[in-house]
Amino acid sequence: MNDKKQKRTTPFRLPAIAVAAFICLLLILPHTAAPALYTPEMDAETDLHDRVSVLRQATQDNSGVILPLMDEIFSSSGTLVLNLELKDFSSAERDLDEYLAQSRQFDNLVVRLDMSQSDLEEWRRLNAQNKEDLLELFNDTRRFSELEQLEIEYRDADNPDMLYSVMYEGEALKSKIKETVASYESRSEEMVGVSRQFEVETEAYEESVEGTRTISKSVEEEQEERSAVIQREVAPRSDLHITLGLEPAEVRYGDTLNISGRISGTDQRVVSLYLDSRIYKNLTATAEGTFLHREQIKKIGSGMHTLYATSDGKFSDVVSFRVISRNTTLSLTQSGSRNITGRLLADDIPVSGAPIRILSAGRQIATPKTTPDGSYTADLKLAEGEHHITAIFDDTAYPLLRGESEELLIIVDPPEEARSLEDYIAIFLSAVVLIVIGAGGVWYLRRRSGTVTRETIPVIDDPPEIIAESIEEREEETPPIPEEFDPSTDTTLSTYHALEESDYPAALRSLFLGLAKETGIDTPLTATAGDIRQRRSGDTDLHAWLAAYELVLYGGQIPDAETRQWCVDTYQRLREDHA
Amino acid sequence: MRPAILIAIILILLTLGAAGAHLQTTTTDLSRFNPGWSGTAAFYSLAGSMDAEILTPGTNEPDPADRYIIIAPKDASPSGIAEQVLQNGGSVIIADEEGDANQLLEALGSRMQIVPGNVSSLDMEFASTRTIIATVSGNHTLLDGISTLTFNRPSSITGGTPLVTTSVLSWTDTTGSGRPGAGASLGRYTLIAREEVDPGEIILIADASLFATTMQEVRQLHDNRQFLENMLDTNGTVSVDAVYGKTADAEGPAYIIHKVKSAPISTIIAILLLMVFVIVAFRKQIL
Repeated sequence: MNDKKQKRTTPFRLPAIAVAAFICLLLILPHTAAPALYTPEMDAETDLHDRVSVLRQATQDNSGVILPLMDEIFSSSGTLVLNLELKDFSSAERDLDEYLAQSRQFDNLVVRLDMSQSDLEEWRRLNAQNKEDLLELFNDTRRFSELEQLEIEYRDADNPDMLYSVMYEGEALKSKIKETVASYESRSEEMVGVSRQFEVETEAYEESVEGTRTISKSVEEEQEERSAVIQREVAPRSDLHITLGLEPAEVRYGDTLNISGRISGTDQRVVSLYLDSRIYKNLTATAEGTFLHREQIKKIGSGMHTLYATSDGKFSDVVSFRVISRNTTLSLTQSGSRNITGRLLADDIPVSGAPIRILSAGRQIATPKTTPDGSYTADLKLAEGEHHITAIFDDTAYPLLRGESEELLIIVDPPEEARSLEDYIAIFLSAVVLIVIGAGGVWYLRRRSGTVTRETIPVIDDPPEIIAESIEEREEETPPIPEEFDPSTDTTLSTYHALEESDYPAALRSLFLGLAKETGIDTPLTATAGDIRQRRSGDTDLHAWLAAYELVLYGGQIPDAETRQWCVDTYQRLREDHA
Repeated sequence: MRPAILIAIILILLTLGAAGAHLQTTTTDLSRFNPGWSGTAAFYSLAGSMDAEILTPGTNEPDPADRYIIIAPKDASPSGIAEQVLQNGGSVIIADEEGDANQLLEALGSRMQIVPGNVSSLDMEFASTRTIIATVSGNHTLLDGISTLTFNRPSSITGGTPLVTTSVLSWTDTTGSGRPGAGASLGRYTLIAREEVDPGEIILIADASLFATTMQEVRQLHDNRQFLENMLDTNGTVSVDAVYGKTADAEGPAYIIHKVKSAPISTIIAILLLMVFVIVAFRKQIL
């Protein structure tokens, strides 16, 4: 039975408090990055309402800004047209500046408030088209008005060639103004409808539409009168003729416009073509006087355009052609984590050199241009997170309808390498912290009690009375107390030898208890070295042994082998002397 | 009695009291037993302090009040009380945002309806288009001294005479994005409306969240506080429902406790149990 007990081993055990602390650390460690276990923001909404107390209170009366601005834009456009009617161009310029500034402010608001998919965007789009028309109307009517002054100057200077030039430019401007007014008028119904939805007064706008009609009519009348007067006053040179022809009369993006003509009655072979009253191209006619130019329709606004040719002070008739808008398709795909690509086609024809606006949540973030095959690419500067990207083509310089791609969701993940490195560092630091804490705990416990690790320890039957007392003290460290001394059978010595290597203070303590018992102390476990000294005051060997014992047990000294042997020998001798 | 036992009893009673108080509360939306931000405990406290009568389960049905307020009714059950109020020329105030109140409105013969959906607006009080600002657009004594109200994810009303409406820059947020999606049109929505049901009137509020505690936690929230006080402060009597609406809801232990508490016999049983406890305590010489 005893042997069996002696072979029993005590498992490695850490004190419960150390284990609990270690578990707590393990549990807390993952939360160190985000230490808040609860914040009001975590409980910020239910199915029925938001928790307003955690939201930032920032009263925004946007309707109090946007709706008056829409009113002001209409009002400015009304006074602009009125001043154009009155030919008060300085006031009209001021109105135009104001109108453009208000329109810009409105455009910015729509983008800032992310209302790019709402009716506000529809209003903004219509107003942008109105803005283009009013800008053209302003420039053309002002130029038309300047022709009046030029006509007087050339008449005074008796310059019939330039008078003809004025007449033809007037013709071109008349056609253009008519076209612009038709464009402005064409969207009035839609504009009024959207505006009424927002309860915006449209009276000023509707008056402006009526005013543009009046301007167009007035220009038409003036030009007819001017042409009649000039043709009556200056007879055309009968020997010089320039004919000009166009084919076809209606073209679309990608079509070819054939411009041809013939000059006769002069040796001059350079013919200047004027498109919409602006020099467009100089051509050299053949020896027979014919000239031909083929123009592929690309970057030219949709609508009516006028063309005439002039050479050596002679003008051709004004011819016109219409550019009709094509539908566009705009694709958008992701080609990398932050890269996009796409293609712009006008009825299957690639559109070259066109600017594509890339928007993220309504904000423009890039403007790539298309290549000759209609494709475009962009490297976007996107932050980590989700981005709703759309591509838009809406450049009115092209005879193309607005195109918008499908929305593309781009999710930008944190950089892989950076995150992995951070993770590794965090794991490494955590492991270091845990190891240091664990090692420190073991070291401390060993230092304090020397009972952290144990070799196989023989279990010794304790006397009942000692066991009873030892329960309150150290359960495992208390060695048994021998009844009488016999070196061969002394369990105290065997306990000493068993503990000597692993826990020397405990081993020495077992010898001390044997001596305490020997001196007749009833409760050896509570006995001190002083108690024994009192009982054996004249025993110098015993006093020396007790001094060595105190140095080991309380002073923390670990004696060398010689001193250890001395302790054992002295112990045996003391036991034998008093046996 | 030994001091140790006395102390033990006191501690047990304190513990039971604390546990009882805790178990009576709930986190159910709009519940009057919910003292948190999403409940209506603060409104019922205000109603109590302004001498409004709280109609709870088990209480005897009082004489019809001049004003009857019901928050988030689940069905047409309160139509009996509401009809009595209307027949006496009183007003019935119904607040709802999920559309369950439509059954009650139909039962009362009203043509007004709640249209469920998150009405959002560019005119917002907080950093969310769902906390919208609406302005008074009609005349009513209920709106005396009120020009602007803040709503919290309201739905909208069709029919009736509009009293409070949103700005035209409002929409129904179907995507939850906080912005009008493709095809969504902007417009004005009615959030509070009235309709005469002879000889009384019904006032319909498209947002039960107006009564939630969170709306009262913000110190300055336009005229919301005044609106609640106007509802509770009238020349006649005001009764507030705590039976048929979601304000009577509770979950878990709170549900059981309030069910038992609301049973008429529960008080008698509780008194009897206490008496038994006292008798047993004397016999065991505890007391």
